[in-house]
Amino acid sequence: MEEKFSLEDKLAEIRALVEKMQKGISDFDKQVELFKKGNILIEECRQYLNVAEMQIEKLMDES
Amino acid sequence: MTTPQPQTWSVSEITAYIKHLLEDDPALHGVNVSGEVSNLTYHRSGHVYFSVKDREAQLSCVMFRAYAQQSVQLKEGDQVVVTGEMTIYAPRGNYQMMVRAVKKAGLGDLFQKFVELKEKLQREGLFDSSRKKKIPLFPETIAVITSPTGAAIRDILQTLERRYNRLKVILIPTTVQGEQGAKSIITSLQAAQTTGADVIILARGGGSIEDLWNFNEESVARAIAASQIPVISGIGHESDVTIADFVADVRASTPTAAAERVVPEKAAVLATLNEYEKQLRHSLRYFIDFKRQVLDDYSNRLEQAVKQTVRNKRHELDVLAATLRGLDVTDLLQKGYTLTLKDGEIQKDASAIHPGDRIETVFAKGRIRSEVTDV
Repeated sequence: MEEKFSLEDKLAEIRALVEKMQKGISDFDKQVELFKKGNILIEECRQYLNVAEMQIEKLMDES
Repeated sequence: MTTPQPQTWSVSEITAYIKHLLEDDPALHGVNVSGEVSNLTYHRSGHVYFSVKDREAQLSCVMFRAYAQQSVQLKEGDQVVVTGEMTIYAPRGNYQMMVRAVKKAGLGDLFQKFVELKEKLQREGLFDSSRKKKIPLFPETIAVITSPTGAAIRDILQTLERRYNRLKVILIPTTVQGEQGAKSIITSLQAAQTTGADVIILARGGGSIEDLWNFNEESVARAIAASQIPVISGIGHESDVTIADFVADVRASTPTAAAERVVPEKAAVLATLNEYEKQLRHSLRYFIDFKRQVLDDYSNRLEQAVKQTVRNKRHELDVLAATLRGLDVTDLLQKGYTLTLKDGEIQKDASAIHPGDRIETVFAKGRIRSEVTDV
């Protein structure tokens, strides 16, 4: 079962991730991995916001 | 003895002389003459021609238009007292009376009775407004008590039809004149109680005070008072007032007015209702328009709010993305710097590395491993 996308959860996840990286991670591969993951999460959120914006425009046009 | 040669008069001269005799005699000024009306003619011109007669003689009378308009309606056989001047109508060689006023004889007695009964019933409270029943706003059935052949029923039906035609009219044929009149009116009033009528119209067309007398009788007045159904009276002409009018719940001046009294209520109510309906529609439209405007406003604010939320989130995301970019360790590698790892961990202090340690060097592209020989 696919979990429902939650923007807030994802944003929280990104924030936590950034904070963790700002504290410094000595393990280089781990750091690279987190960076990639952060970028993927950011992209997901951008997509979500794009779709939401389109849906809002469509709803407003319809009413 | 000589008799003087009698003077010879012309017809005009002798007529003029007689005219003077008559008209100059103070005894003949403003005389009252009583008798019975006959040969009555209401002329188109408005003048009224008639004779007043008794068993042995008759007197030609003319009542000019101006007086006739103010006079009671005359009819053949009326006992009257006429007041006026004696005169000669030369073209026909007639003497006649120029009538200024007519009083119906016998009126005195009847009027006295009328006043006495009126006072009696008034004392009993039969005319009190507190016992008047209300005419229903929407009568569906009307009982009409009148003669089936008279002018009254015709006037009533015409009026009802003109005004509003969905009424059920029950005509109760009634004798409204003469000796049988009172009994017939009472019987009809009683009969009307079981017709299911909402209102009763008691009507009669115009006539002399004698013609209308049934409506001044005590038994009729009491029958009206006893009616469970509201009674509207419409008796005679506008100027006629009867005891029945005082007892009735509503007095209309004529049969037509009685019919109008039943219906214009309805017409007026319908007009009022129409007005209410219009106002209601108007206010409903206003209400809808107003709510629509409010809704538009909400819709705009909602749109702004949700768009603002998206903008905020996007901004938050942009800030995070920028922060994250700043934390990109590979960024330096792209510029030609390298990283040194020992056991996978970034090394910042050479003193932590000893000869013989195995270290890893990370380039933008690729890595190398080496063994430390010297520190």
